[in-house]
Amino acid sequence: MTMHEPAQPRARGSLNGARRLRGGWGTTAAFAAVAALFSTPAYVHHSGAMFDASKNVKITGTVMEFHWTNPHSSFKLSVPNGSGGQSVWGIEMGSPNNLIHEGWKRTTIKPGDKVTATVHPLKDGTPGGQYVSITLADGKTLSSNPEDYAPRRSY
Amino acid sequence: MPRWIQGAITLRVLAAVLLLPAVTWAQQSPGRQARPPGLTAAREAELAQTHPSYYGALAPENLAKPRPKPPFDLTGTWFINLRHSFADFMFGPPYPHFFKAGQEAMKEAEAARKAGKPYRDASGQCWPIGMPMILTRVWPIAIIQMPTAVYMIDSFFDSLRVIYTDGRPHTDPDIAIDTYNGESIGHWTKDALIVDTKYFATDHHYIDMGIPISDKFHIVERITLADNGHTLVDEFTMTDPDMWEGEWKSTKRWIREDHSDIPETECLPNLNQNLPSTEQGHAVAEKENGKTK
Repeated sequence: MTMHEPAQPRARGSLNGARRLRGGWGTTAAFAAVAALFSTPAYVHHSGAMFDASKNVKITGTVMEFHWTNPHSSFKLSVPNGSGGQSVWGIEMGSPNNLIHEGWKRTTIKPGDKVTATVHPLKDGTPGGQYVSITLADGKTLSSNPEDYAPRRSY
Repeated sequence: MPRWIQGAITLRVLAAVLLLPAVTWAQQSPGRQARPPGLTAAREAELAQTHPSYYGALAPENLAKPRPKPPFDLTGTWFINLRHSFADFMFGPPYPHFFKAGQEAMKEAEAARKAGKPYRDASGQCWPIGMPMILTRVWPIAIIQMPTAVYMIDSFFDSLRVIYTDGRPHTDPDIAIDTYNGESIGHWTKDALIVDTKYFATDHHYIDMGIPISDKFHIVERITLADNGHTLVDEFTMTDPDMWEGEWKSTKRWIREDHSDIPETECLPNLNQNLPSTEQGHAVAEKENGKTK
């Protein structure tokens, strides 16, 4: 199961309960449970397992579309791919209310705007990622809560 | 015959002659057929989902029945308490001893995590979350307490759960309809609301990282208020004799959020196409970048 948004949960809770698992399978299950627990991307209505939360990738391109919607906002960037062509980067964001708290408005970006975005990229190399921050054409930078999007910690 | 009467008759005949073609055309035109007859009382009762022998929870007659005063009022907007750990949205660990399906789910979830792939990402495909996970989404829940029922509206997917407290029993199993939030029947004690929930839809209905349930899944909750009404405490006892051994217990807490409301939050497949972490969105990203296999 999953959720959305910021990358890693801040799991500080006691894990003693995992020891209560029984049988020979218990140890494996305990590790699996704990691992799944810490890998579960924070918010979301769906899995964030495809994003690499340990990496930040900066991309500069032209806004193609911007969706200001619940449960997730998103935008697409046309980004030069280095081979003379363009890649399309789909950027997944939190809900508009998350973004409002960070200073976003539904008019913050529009098609044709040149922006630079920082994202946690898709693990398989397909252009696309999870929003971390953006620098607008006027130089203003908006950023998600850095604690929410911090790279995975060791627990 | 007076001339004014003759004139009136002439006008009516003339009007009838002039309107006849229009009436005939309207009757013959496929798009202008006569309106069908109205619903019969019996058909209306069926479509309005009426109960054959008892009042609905919001019927004035039901609301007005004398009842003991509940020990507290849950009405408010609530948000899952994740202040101690974000992982508190999950119902384990500790976990019960899972049988085969649950054990396999735990292993497969771990394998998917290592591979960087989602596992049983049903909600990412717009399947309903279902109880109990719907209550621990990171979206606010509006709770409206009435004398006859407690309405829980989760902002996420606009999911509705109704806990009937008007004394009705569970629906006869022969006609009960399985749903993702189940059928909840509650009763008040001197200090808690006790809720019994069963009749769950099982398709793509998972707990935590993908533990499946069977049609024997059953939840009993003990709901109380703490911190002078600022914290809602729900003690879950979940059983499913086909999926795990004994009782799976977990206590969750919600914080009263008096400056929040519940936004409409639909899961729309076409919007998922813009989210590269969903199956649809990832497929679109591959197609747009020439990686479609």
